[in-house]
Amino acid sequence: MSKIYAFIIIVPFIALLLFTKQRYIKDLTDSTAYVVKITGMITTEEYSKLKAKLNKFARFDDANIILMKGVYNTGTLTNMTAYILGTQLNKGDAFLIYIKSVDVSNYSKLQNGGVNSDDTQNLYYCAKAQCRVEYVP
Amino acid sequence: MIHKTSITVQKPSAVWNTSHKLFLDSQKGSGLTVVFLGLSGILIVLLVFLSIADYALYSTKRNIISRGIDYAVCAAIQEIDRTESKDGPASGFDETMGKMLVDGIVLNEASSDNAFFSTMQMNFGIKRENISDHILIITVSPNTAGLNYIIRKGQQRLEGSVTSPDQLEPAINNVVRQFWEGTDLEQDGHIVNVNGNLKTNQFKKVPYYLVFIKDYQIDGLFKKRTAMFVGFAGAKIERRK
Repeated sequence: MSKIYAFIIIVPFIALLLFTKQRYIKDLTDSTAYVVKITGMITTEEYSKLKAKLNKFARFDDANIILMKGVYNTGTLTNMTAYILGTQLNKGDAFLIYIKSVDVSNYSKLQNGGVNSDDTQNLYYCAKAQCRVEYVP
Repeated sequence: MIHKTSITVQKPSAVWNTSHKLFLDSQKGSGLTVVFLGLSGILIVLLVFLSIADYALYSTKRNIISRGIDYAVCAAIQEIDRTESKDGPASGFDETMGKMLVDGIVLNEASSDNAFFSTMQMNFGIKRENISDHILIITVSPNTAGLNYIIRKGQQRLEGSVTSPDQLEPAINNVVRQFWEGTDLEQDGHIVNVNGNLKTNQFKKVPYYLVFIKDYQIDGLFKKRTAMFVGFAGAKIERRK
C-alpha cells in the first residue's frame, strides 16, 4: 500500500512539471511572428485562429493580446505604435506580439496556495516575440 | 563397513527457488522487503521522470534561443550601409547571366549589431553584455574578386578575404580556433558546420551576417548544460517595383 500512496502523490507532481502550458504559448507567438516576417501582415482571420488556439490553454481576451509595429533606426527599435489588423508592413519594419493571460497560472496557484492578494506575487502565462519584416510588397 | 557418499547437485532453478523462499521467509512478518523493493522502484521512477523533465526544460529553452537567433540575424542583415554600398546596387544585373549583382554591398557593423542584439533581447531576454563573451560575429560582403569577411569577438577583430564562397567555412573555423583556446576542429560541437560538401555549399556570393555562439550555458531543472548555436542570414535584395 505504501507504494500506491507514494505514486498518488508523486506522479501528478511530475506530470505538472512535464505538461506546462507555457511552452505551447511561446510557440504560438513565435509562429505568429514568423508569419508576419514572411508576409508582412496578420489578417483578422489569422488573429481569430490564434486567439482560439490560445484560449485552449488559458483565457486570453483581446486586451491581453498586444500587437505593435515599429521601425528600426540604426538598428534600434523605435516608434512603437499599436498594429491594426490587416495593415501591410514594409520590408525592414518591426513587429511585436506580447500576450498575457487573464488567469493566474497553475504553477503560481500551487506555489502561493491559490491566487495571492498581492498581484506582484502572481505569475501569468506570458510570451513575447519580435521580428523584422522581409516581405517586399 | 562401506560408507556410501553421494553428492547431489541441485539445479540452478532449484537453488534460486530455495534461496528466494528462505529470504522471504526470514523477513516474513516485518514486510520490510516489500517496503525496500517498493521504495527503490519509486526512487528509480522518480529519477527517470526528473531527468526527463530536466532535459525537456533544457531543450525548450534551447529551441526558444535558436528561434530568437533566427529572427535576430534576419533583422541584422537588413542593416545595409547605404553610403558604402552605392556602387553595388548601381551595377544592376549581370548581362550574361541575368542575375542581380550584389557585389560591393556592405553591412553597417554598428547598426547591424544593434539590430541583432535588440531583436534577440526582445525574443528571449538575454542582454548584450551577458552573451558577449560567447559570441562571434562574422559579416561577409561580396566584391568582384570574391568575398571579404570581418570576424569579431569582443574587442578582437580579424579581416580577410576568400575567392569563392565554399572557402568561407574553413576560414571561419580557423579563426574560431584562434579565438577560443581548446577548440577541437574534429568535433562538430566546436565549429561552424554549414556545408555538406562543395556541391551542397550553403554559402552563396551574397552579403551575410553570421553569428556563432559557443558554450552558452542553459539551466535545466537541476543540471546545467552548454549549447552551441550557429545562425546566419543572407541579404535578400530586391528592386522595388
